[in-house]
Amino acid sequence: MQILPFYLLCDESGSMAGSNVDALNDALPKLHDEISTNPTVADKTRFCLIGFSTEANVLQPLVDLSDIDEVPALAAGGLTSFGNAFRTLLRCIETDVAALKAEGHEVYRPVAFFMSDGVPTDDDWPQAYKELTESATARRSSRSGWATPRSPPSPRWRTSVPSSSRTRTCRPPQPCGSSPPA
Amino acid sequence: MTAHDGADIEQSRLKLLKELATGGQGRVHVVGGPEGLLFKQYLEPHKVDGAALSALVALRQGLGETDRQRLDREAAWPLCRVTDAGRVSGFLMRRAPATMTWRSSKGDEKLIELSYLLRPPKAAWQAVRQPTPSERFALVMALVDLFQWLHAMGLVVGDLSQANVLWSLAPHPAVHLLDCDGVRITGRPPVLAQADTPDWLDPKSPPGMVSVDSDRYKAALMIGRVLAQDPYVTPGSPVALGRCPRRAAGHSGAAAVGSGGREYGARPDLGQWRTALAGRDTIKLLATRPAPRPSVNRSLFDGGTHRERGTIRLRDTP
Repeated sequence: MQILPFYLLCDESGSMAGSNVDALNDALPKLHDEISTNPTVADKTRFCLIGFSTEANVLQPLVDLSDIDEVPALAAGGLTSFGNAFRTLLRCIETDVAALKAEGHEVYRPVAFFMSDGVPTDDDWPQAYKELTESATARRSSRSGWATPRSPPSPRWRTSVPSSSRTRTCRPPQPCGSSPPA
Repeated sequence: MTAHDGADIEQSRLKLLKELATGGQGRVHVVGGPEGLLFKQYLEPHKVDGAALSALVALRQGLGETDRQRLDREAAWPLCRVTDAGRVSGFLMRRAPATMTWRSSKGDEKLIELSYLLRPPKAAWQAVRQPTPSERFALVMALVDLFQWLHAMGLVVGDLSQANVLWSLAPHPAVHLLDCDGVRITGRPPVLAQADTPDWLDPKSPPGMVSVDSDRYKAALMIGRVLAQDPYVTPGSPVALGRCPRRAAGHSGAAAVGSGGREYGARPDLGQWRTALAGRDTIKLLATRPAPRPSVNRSLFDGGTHRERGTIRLRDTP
């Protein structure tokens, strides 16, 4: 079966406290509802939630959304380490893609959505980003979505498999300038 | 509103109340009016074959009252074309029956697509009541009936998939075909370029081509997948019919699932499916066999190889 791994990287640094992180937490059940109630889409997608601040944590390992009833909430605090986020994402992609293939699945190129309100506080993130986008697995990533909550933040979701899965608030973060290469 | 007589209607006369959904080909709006019709508005109207859409509208208008009511009950058929500045921009259709919708825990109304029949139930859509084995069988027979009827009318459905068929159990098991502008009259072009669904492609069909035979292949997938509760069953794979009533799990039913993958042009038609699913034995009819040759007493006709022959003079002797 073909599977689309779908990663959501959410900034939960101190600057996200209040309405920003609330907006993300409000949006997660909507995302879950859209995907899990469509058996065909749920069959084809696997979802992973990564929260990052000073550290990056895999809050929800890759899962079929129709198999879960709850997900850890995002909680704001700490710095904004893009580098840790990218390194964690790369580790997840490499592990998950290998595991899915070992189960006999054909794996679509993973999709990653990066949600942040601001500027990274670490200096070495470009190197982590380079390693992510140049790794053999991630180079096969067809799309990465970059989203920064607007004021007021209003993340919205569109779900379909596989071509139009992207947030409507996507725009590249200032430090990157443009979307990463396919 | 001219949905009843099938005549074209100007888009400017429609009062669009709400956008229901957006798909690859168009947006679906709720239209104001007593009937609560839907307007499918094409995203790329310049690619629409208006004559093909008109033929579908005319087909419905040409049906007798009973058949037209059946078509309206079992399909979201184009009632009339909608035009915008002289160009076909979409068509009006009826809403799916209310019994074929459900509400998620968030309160959103969703259609009960065939996909909910193809796999074991999950908590996320537990509000969709699953059929008993006999209800599941009745749904399969309703599908067979519908596609057999459409084929008998000279139609090719084209894109049969888990997203294009709705179902309900109340007041009785019933099915409803969506995206009927994808249906074409045999031998005529489609309204838009043929849409296909991954996992529902006929591997033996010529690329980009659909026909009654590719419909039969996809119907075989649909029947096998609903009975087996497995969205990825193909005619070549083993089919576990353990959840089906005994009659459908009989030898002929299982064999028919397998025969759906025969060579292009040789798939069982829906009538054969009906017979196979009924679980009945079949009787070879004598009329279909060649009559046995009668024994011939050759001695009556054949004098043997040694015969006395005279000669025939061809010229008068002088």
